[in-house]
Amino acid sequence: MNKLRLSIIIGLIVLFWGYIMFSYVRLIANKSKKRSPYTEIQLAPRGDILDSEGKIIATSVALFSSYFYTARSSQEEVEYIRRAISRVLVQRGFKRSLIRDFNYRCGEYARKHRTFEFMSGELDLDIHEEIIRSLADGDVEIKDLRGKIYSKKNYRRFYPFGKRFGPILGYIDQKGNPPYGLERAYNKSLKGREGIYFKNSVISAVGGRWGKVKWVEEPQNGEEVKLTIDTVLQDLSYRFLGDAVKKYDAVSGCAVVIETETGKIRAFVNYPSFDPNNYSSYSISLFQNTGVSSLLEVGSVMKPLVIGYLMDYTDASGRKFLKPSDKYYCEKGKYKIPTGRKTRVIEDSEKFKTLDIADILAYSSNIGMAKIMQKYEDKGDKLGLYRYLISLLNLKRSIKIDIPGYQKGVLKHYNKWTRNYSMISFAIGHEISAPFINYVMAFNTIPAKGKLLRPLLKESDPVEAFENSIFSAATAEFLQKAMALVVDEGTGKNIRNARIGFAGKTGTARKWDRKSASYSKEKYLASFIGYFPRENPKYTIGVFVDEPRESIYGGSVAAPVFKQIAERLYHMELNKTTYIFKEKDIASSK
Amino acid sequence: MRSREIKFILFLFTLLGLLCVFSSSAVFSFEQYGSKYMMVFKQFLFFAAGWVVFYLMQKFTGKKAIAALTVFITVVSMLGLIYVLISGVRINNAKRWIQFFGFTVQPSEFFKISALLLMAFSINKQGKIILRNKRGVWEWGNVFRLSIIIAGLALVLVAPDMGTTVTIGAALLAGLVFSKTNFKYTAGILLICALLVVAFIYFSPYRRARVVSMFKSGGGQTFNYQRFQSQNAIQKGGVFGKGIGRGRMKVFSLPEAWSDFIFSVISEEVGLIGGILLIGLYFLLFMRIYNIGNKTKDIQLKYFTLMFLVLLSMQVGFNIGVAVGVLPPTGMVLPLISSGGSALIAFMMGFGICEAVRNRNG
Repeated sequence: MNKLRLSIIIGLIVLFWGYIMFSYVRLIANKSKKRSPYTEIQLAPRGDILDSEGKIIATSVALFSSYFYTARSSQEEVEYIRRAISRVLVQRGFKRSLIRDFNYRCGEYARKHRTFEFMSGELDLDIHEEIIRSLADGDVEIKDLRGKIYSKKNYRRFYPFGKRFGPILGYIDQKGNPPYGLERAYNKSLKGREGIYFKNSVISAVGGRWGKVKWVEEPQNGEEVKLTIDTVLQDLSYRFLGDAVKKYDAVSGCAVVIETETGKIRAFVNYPSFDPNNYSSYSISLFQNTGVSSLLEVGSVMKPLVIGYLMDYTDASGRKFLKPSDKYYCEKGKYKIPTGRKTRVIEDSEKFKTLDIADILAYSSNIGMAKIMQKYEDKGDKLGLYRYLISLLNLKRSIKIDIPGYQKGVLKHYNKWTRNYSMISFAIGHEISAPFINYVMAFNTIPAKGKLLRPLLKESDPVEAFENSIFSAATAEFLQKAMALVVDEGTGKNIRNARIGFAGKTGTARKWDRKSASYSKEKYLASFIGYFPRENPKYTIGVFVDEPRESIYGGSVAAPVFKQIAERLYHMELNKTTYIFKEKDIASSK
Repeated sequence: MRSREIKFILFLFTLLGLLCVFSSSAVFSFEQYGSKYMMVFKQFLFFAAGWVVFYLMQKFTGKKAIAALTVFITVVSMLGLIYVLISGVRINNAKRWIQFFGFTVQPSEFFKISALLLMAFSINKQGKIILRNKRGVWEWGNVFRLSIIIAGLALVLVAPDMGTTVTIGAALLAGLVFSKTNFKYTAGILLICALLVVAFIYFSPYRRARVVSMFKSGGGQTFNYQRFQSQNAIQKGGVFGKGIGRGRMKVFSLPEAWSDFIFSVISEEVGLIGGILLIGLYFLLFMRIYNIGNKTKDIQLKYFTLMFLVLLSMQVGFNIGVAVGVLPPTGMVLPLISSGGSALIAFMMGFGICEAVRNRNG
């Protein structure tokens, strides 16, 4: 027998056993530190979440559960303590049922059980101390209160702004875990570390007052997290979005406000939303933030972004592919393209004749875009467009947004693109899907002069750009003018505001219907992404409304929400001079 | 005294096994059969049968007798495995058992012994396993034996019983590494086996889920539930334990407390110290078997003893690893302690053969 081989086998067995014994001992060692009959765990309060102004939008409230250790008391003592406690509870106006339950437990129940919990999570420290005081001041002298009444501290998460922050913050479930939202994303710094104390030290202290606790390990409070979100803006956005969703009887909606230069998210709302204080009574479908978790085809919003790429594209001889002055004949509203066996019909909302590039964007002409894309397809540079779309909408990179539930977008590989079909679809915002926040960040490249920024939610995060110039400054300038034209003359003209100067792009997209495997003719997604002020953009706002009825257009459903938010924001942030109401104004507003 | 050592250790295990099975199964037994002694009584019968087998086996000192025994066990266990495949009893989603006069028999346990014996008899006097000798003539006996081993392993694997397959496989591979077979072949076979194990885990959803659950914390899933309960029981026991019979987790919270997770019950009741003492007792047993193997002149029996040692230590280690929560649940019992007849009798048979080998040495 080979000694070396034998010793290899024996060595392996020894290693295997060593590992098992190590884990066994470690398992027990972990336990003896944390859980023994002499110690108890004290939860640490979770850190607060603050908005950009320092307002608290999520906080932890300390609550006490009290325990009555009846085994050490005589019958008379139990009766006396019962009376004293229920007197305090009655004075404080607690529910009758709670008090009745307490009284019952002190009777029959107490004889069978050594200890029981009462008013679990209902008492605050104040009431607990009052109970202790009333016992101490009582006419019957209780010799030793030691170990008869004691309390345990728990925490409940409280969200003062309720529904406004539902999907973005998430909630804390009964076990103390955050399953959704920023609570989950920042859980590491928020949660702190639980402490361990000697049970004896609490029970023996009179009435279990805190402060005399002997710690094995002190609890460490969670850290504060300061968000970039502004509560007032969040509230406004929530209201206006909600009004629109209700007015048009839509399924849902989402609005995002970001700072153009930094990518900081100032508001991010969903409607319908849920109240994290009372999450269990809401449907699970409301817990996700649809702005990051659902993949959308936004339609015409893609047009300026594709044009942005084509404006910069130069062919092999160095000639520019697209000039602002180029004109395209728009076929009077109906254009047939042969694609294989079928013919594809592309329609416009109006009968346009000849439009230049800016007009194609302003009036959102699908036919104009289709013709441009057909011309581009003849050049055959699929790869360039593919790479551009990938980096623009963050389709490959897992975008670093902090909200959990982020879905990566989908774009067919360029080898599988159908001739005369796919590229046109991209240009009018179909066959390419991404979460809404990605479209907003992509659109933000127009006011930010080509900078593709990372969406930020934490105030302390540094500003970060994924791409510094996704298109050239000249192109950005042209697109800015075109976007202004959309609001001045084109599809977004019902939100014109000469004073502030909005600019943006509407989008009305048919939704993909899985049942019929085609684009639905009844279900639409209305969206608007825009920025203001025109000359010196400060804020970019994106709004989408899912399946609106009555009116379906981005210009009439989503754009007004943009306008309402933007006007308030303008006066709040940019135009800080106080506005003086005059009688005339008041009269006219009526 | 020395000649009685292995018997003495086995006797200690008999007492411990009965005690542990009684402690862990009493409540369940009362619930199931109406008497808390029912399961421990069954276990007592198995021990009795096991000791009879042990005494029979140690009489088989001759090489020919052992060869005949090999043929017998192989035929019986292979027939059993095939029968299981056709109309076995399904328990916990695995077909491993045959119903037999109110008892359930698990042929794969007996196949363990037969596989090791077959492997041992394939080794020639130079300590090599060869399929063709130098003159280029096929060694048909070896080809036949190895193909039976592979067929048996395949049958065990489709049962499905990954845990047993891996333990037998590991013991056989250890035998291969011991032997002076060409290093190239050994390494090749080791590599193929490793790939097979990975592939089998990867392509079966429930195995993958079990392995994945090892690295995920949190409860909810069944596998995690078992692991969590088992770890909880061990933690509750702590260093000194709660005292024999005072464990709480075995009362319906710990699944299979009397077989797969018996170590958790032991650890809850007698603590880390008791657990380590039990493992120490196992190591005494390992040492005895190693000494027997080391002193044996006959190369085939020597390899059998060493492979049996590997098998035993793997199985004990696997069971404890599952209880501690560092290995995925495989449904393997703790030899000599867990309730269950087949494994017990098969292992007693193995010890009997080891004892016979020792008697041969004189």
